[in-house]
Amino acid sequence: MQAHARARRALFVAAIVGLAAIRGEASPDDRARGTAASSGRGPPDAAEPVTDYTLRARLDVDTHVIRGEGTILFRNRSPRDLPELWLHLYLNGFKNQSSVFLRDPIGGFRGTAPVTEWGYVDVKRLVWKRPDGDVDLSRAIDTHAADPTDETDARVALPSPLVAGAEMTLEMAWEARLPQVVERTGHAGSFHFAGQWFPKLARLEPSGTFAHFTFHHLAEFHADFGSYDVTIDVPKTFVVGATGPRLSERLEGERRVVRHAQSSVHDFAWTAWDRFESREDTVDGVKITFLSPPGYDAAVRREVDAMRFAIPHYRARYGRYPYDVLTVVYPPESAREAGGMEYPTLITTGGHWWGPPGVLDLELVTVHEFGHQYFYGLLASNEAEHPFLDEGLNSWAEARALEAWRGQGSLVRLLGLEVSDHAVQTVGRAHVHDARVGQPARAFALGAQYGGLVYGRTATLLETLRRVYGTPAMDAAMLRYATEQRFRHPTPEDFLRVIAASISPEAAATLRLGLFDHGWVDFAVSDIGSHPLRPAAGVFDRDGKRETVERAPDLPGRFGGSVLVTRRGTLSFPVDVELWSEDGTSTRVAWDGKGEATRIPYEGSARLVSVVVDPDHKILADQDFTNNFAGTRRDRLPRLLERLTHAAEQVLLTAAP
Amino acid sequence: MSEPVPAELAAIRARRHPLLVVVGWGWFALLGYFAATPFHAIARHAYGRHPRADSVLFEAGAYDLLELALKSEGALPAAVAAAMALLVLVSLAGHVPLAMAMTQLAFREEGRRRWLPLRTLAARALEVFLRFLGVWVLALLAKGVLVTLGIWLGSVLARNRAEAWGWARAEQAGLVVVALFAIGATAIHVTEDLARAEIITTDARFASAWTRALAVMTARRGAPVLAWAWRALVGGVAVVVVLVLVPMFPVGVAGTLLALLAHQLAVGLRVALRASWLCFALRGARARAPAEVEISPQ
Ligand SMILES: [Zn+2]
Repeated sequence: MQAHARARRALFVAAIVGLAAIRGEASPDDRARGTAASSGRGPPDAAEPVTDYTLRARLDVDTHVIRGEGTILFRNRSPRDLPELWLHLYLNGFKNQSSVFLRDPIGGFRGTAPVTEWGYVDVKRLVWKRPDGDVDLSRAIDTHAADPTDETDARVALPSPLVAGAEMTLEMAWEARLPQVVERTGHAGSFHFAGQWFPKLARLEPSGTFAHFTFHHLAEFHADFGSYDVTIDVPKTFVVGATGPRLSERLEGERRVVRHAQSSVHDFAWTAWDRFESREDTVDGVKITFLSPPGYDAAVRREVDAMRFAIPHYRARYGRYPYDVLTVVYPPESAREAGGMEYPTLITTGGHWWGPPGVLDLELVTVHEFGHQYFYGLLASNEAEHPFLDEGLNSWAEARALEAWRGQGSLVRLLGLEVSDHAVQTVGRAHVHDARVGQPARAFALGAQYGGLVYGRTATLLETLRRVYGTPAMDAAMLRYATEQRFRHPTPEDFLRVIAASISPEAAATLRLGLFDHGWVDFAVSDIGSHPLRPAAGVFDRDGKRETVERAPDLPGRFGGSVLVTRRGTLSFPVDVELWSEDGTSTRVAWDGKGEATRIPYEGSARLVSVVVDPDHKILADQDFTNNFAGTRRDRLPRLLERLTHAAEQVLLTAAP
Repeated sequence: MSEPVPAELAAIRARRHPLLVVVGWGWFALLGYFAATPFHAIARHAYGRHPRADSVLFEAGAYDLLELALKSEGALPAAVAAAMALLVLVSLAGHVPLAMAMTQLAFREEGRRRWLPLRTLAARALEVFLRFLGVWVLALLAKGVLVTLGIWLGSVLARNRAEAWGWARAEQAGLVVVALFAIGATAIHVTEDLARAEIITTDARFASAWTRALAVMTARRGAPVLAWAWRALVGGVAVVVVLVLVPMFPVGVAGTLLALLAHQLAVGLRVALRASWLCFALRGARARAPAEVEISPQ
C-alpha cells in the first residue's frame, strides 16, 4: 500500500515537466519553481507559489531569542503595480500592553494568561535586491501604519512600485524574542515553540491589495502559498520538529543544525526542546512524527490511533493529503497554550498524560488539528476575516469524522453514557442572537461568542444540512469545495456557491441566513388534542330540505383530533412530525416547514396521546429541543428516578457517617 | 423489662443481624430517593410528556440529556442545594441511627432474642449523640487537613520536579505523596469508627474513646485498617460491577426493574459490609473492655 503510493507519486512527478513535487524527494530549488497543477482527477497537488522564504534561524535557549536572516522571493501576481508591501510582525502583539492583542478587553477563548515576559520581533535589515543595486528598505518600515500603538502590521513603502507580474527578492535579518507561551507561540522553560516567528508578507489579494491586519486576540492568520526552506540552529541536545520534511541534519560543535523545506504551504512553524521523545508511524504514505514529553506514551498511542483513522477518512472526504510528512507535537503541561494549533504539516495537541479512556478529548483535538491541514492549510481562507470558513467547517468535519470512527459516543463513551460531539457543538445556539457567525474575528465581543458561533454554530448549521438534505449531497458538496478550492483562498461566496450547486439553492440560502444574518429556527408543538369521533350534529339544509341532526353517540373505536406545530425564526427546513396513539402505535407526517405553523389532522382507532416534531434531531440548529413534543399525560420517568436514586444512595453511603 | 447486657463476642456479627442490615438499606434507599427527587422533578417537568418518556434521555448521542442540562440551568442549582442540605442533615442527624444500630449490634436484652426496645436504642443514641458528633467533627477536620496537606505537598513536588523529571513523572510522584496522605486519612477514618465503638461499648468519654481507639490501632499494628479496607474494596468492586453491567440491560420496564435490583443489591451489600465492619470494631472494643459494661436505659 505504502510502496504503491510512492510509485504512483514518482510517476506523477515524472509526468509533469517543470513541476516540482512538494514531496521531500524534490530539491528545494525544484520545489521553489512548483506551479499549480492537477493530476486530472482530484485536487491539484501543488500551489502556484507567490512567496518563497529561505530562512536561517539560530535559537538562544537562555534568552529565548531567535536570530534570523534570509530572503523572500515575492511575485506580484496581481494586475496592479504595488507601491508598498505589508509585513506582519505578529510577535509584537506581545511587545507591550498597547498592542491590539493585549489592549482589547476581550476575555475568554484562549490566550488569556498575562504576559510576564514580553515578546517582540525587530527587523534589523530589509534590502530589496535589484539588478541595478540594493535598495535599503529598513527605514521604510512603518510599524504604526495600521494603528498608532500596535506594531504587528507594518507598511513598507517602496521607492518605486513593484510592477504587475514582476518579482522581487528581499533580503532580511531580524531578531525575535519569544514571550512565555501566552497564545500558541513562546517558551516554557527550555520548551520553545516558534510560531509567527519571522517577518511575514501579508497575502496579496488578486485585486492587488494586501490582506493585512493587526494581530487580534481572537484572530488567526492568512498568507500566500509558496515554499519555505528553513535552516534551524539549536543546542545539540535539543530535538527539533518543524514544517516539512527534514532535508539534512548535522552537528556543528555544540549546535545541531537541521534543514526543513516544504513547498505549497503558507507558513512555517517549528519547535525545539531538550526533553522531546519521538515516535514515528506511516499512514497512507505519510510519515508522521509524534513529539511528546517523557511519560506520555499512552497519550501518544491514542494520537497514533486517531491519525490512523483520520488520514484515510479525510482523503475520502476532502481529497488526498498532498504532503509527505506530518509532525504531531504534544507540548509539555507548562506550555498548554501552545497546544491545539495547526501549522502546515505540523499540528499541536496536548492535554493530560492520563484520562478516562471513554473521554475522547485527545482524539478530538488530534483529528481537529489534522482537519485544519485541509481548511486552514490547503484551502487557506482568510482566517481573520472569515474565521468560520476554517474553524467552523473544520469543527463540523471533526465531529463528522469522530462519529464515523466512534459512533454516537464520539466525544464520551463512559458507563453507558454516549455523548456526541455534534450534540456538544449545539451549545453555540446560545449565542445566535449575539453576533453574526460569519463576521471577522475582531468583531466578536466575547471569546465565548467567537467559540460558540464560529466553531459550534457553523458546525451545527452544516450538520443540520447533512441531516436534512442527506449525507451523499453534503459529502459531495464538501468534497467538491475542498478539491475545487484547494490552494485558492476561497471566500464565503465560493463556499455558498458550491452548497447551492451540490445541494440546492434553498440550502445555500438557508446557510447564508444562518451564517450572516443571525438565522435561527425553533420548532415547537403548540397544541395537541383528540376526541371520539361522532357524526356531525346540528341543522343541515340537504336536497332543499332542512333537517336537524341530534347529537349522535360516539363512533366506537374512532378518534379524531389534530396537533399544531409551529416554526419560529427565520430559517426553514422540511421536518418530520411523529404522532403517537394511545395503543402505542405511531405515524409520521412530513411538513415542508415553510409556513409559520401547520395543523396536522389526526384520525385513528385510539386517542392521540403525544407528538414529537423532528424526532430524529435532524434540525440540530433548533433553538430548543424541549418544546419539540407534547403529550396528554406525564410519564413518571422511572428509569431516570432509579438511576438518580442509586447515585444519591452511593454518595450518601460514602459521605454520611 | 430487663436491662440490656453486652452481647457475646460471637453474636456481634452482621450476619446475626440481617434485619438490621435491611433496615439500614431501607434508610439509605429512602434518603437516596429524597435526594434524587428534585433532580427527577426537573427532568419530569421538561421531558415527562415525551412519547419515548425517559428513554430519550438515555439515547446514544445524549442530545436530549445535554438539552435538559442546558435548559434547566436555572433549576439545577436549587436541586443541588437541596441535595447538599440533605447531605449535611444526614451527616449530622445520621449519628442517631448509627448509634442505635451500633447499640443493637453490641447489646442484647435478657429474654429477648432480637431487638432492643426502640425507646432504649433511641435513649442511648441521644445519650452518645454529642460524643459521636465530636468524634465525627474531629475526624473530619483531621482527614481534611491531611488530604489538603497531601494535595498541597504533592502539587508542590510535582511543580518543583516537573522540569527535572518531566510533568508526567513529577505528577505521578505527587500522586504517590497524595496517596500516602490518603492512607493516613483512611487510618483516621478507621480510628473514628473504633472510637465510636469504644463509646458504645465502654461508654468512654470523648478523649478516652480516642485514646483507646488509637491504642487498638497501635496494639493491632494497623490490622483494623486492613479489616476496613477489604470491605471497602469489595463494596467498591460491587459499585463498579453494577455501573458497568446496568447500561447493558434492556430498555423498558424489565430493564429498569433489573437495574433496580442490581443497584439495590450493591447498596445492600455496602450496608452489610458497613455493619460487618462496625461489628469488627465493636468486638475489638468489647474484647478490651476492662469489665462488663452495661448501659442504663433512661
Ligand atoms: Zn481549530
